[in-house]
Amino acid sequence: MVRRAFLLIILAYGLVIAGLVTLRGELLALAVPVVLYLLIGLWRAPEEISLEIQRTLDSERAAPDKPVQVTLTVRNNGPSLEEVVIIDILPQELQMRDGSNRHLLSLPSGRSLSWTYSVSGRRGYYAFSTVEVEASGPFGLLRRKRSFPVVGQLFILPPVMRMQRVAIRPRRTNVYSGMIPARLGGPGVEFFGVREYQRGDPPAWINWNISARHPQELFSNEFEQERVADVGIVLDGRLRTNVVQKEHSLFEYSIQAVAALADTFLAQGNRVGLLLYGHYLHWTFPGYGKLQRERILQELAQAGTGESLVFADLGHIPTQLFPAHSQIVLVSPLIPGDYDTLLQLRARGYQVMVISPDPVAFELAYLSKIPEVALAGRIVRMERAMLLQKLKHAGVQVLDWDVAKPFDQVVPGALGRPLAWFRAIGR
Amino acid sequence: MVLAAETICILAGLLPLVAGHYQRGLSPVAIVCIIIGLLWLLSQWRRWLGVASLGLIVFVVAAGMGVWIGLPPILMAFSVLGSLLAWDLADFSRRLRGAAPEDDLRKLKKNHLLRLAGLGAIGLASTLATLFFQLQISFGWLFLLAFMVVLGIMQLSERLRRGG
Repeated sequence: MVRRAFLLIILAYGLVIAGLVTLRGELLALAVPVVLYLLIGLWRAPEEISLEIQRTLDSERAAPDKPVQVTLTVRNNGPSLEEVVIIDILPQELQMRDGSNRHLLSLPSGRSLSWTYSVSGRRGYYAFSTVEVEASGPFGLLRRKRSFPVVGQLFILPPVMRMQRVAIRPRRTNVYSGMIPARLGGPGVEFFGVREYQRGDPPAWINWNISARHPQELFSNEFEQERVADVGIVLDGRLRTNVVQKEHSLFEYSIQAVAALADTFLAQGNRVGLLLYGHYLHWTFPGYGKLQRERILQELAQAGTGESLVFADLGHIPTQLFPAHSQIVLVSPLIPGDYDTLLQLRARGYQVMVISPDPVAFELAYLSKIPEVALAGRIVRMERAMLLQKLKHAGVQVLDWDVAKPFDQVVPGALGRPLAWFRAIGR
Repeated sequence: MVLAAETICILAGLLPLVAGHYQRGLSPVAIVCIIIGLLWLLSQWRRWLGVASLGLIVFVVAAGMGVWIGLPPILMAFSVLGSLLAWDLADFSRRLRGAAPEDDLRKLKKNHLLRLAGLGAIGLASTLATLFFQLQISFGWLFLLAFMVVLGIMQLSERLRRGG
């Protein structure tokens, strides 16, 4: 507001000069209120701003569009501030739900004030960084600004759909017991084979039918051991594969799928890692349990799409990150060029599952229903069906997901049990 | 409250000017003042920025002209004081518009109006005192006074530059 003060100075100066030049004391008298105003305004201008500001969020992690309460507490450790504007700078994408992040008030020395407002937003990571304070004197002639670094963070995590189980069958499992069939005989639930009775076998295990055919020997049933496995989830964040229509992105559905899958695999005791493949690679190291679930959800909160010449196709997936013969789950809308990479992964012994949100159905839902669009849709749909068919023939477990249906309703039917022929041939 | 005070101050700045200039037959100046005054009043509702500053400049210049052509200085002083306070209230209203609904604006408004009332009283008293008690000073004193004015304004400018 220096401009206001300058205007007054010019007016006062003009009146004084005019009075001196014309030798009219009355003109000098007219300048008196202006000069008084200036003097009081400048005399009472704020000298320094010394505030102690704290921001607390009622939760650092929230669901999309759920309001989060933000409380800002300000204490004035300096001289009184007659008029002060305090603005809590919000990250751009956050929406104000209730209250205000900007306040105009008078703050006496030593006084403390606090107020609460609520914000909400879409999936993402939001960093609060500064609180801007602008203090002015009684007439607003001089203003003093200061930014206070008050850091805070808010993760708006993707929704996690609960699923009973996703059947995977990697070639190699870990030593700990879990829920993945380990292709080894021992204690378990599923019938695995028959062997000679060994001392200590429970009587219930004895296979009486076979033992009856061999009078001198006893045979026991053997069950398939169930253990935990390594699961690497690859999230395709390439811009070219993720369709965006009217601010709705197919990528959001991929995120939902990854969140649900990671939650399910971790709940089954598996070790899960996440690779974000987009305009860069971001690897979340494999881990177990709730902590890993939280890590993955936080990574998903920050995940976005991007374009890169290097990662334009899936050929640069760093396979050394995934243990040999482990399970890889790729969540991607897929493009024809991805077939070769998936084939290579199969050839290297990985068990590959592809969750593919259907980009054709997604895009068609937003386009006008004219014959040309319908024809184009049919052609693209056929191309996609051929690609998925080829992948199935290559031994890749494929879920073609029409995102109009909730993921947790699609999975039990499609992925709730391992494919029969997988079990039959033991691959 | 602020709106009413601003309206009163605009009228307090406008009416003495119009009356004085109209009586002297300088009706074009009176018409300009009326137009600017009406614009200023209208700007309170339409939230036009800059009209208050224009109004202050026009009213102060018209008051200076009025004193120069021999209009009653008390009327002109009223006009300058009224337009100054109206100009301040216009900016105060603008600042209040940035406040949140839950802010204690009543207290802020009350404090500001009290300060302005105090300033108005002191300003009026000082102006009247300056008008009624006149001193004959020599050219040397006049030169010293002018020098101090220039020095003071330079100091003010410097402070403003540092503060801004």
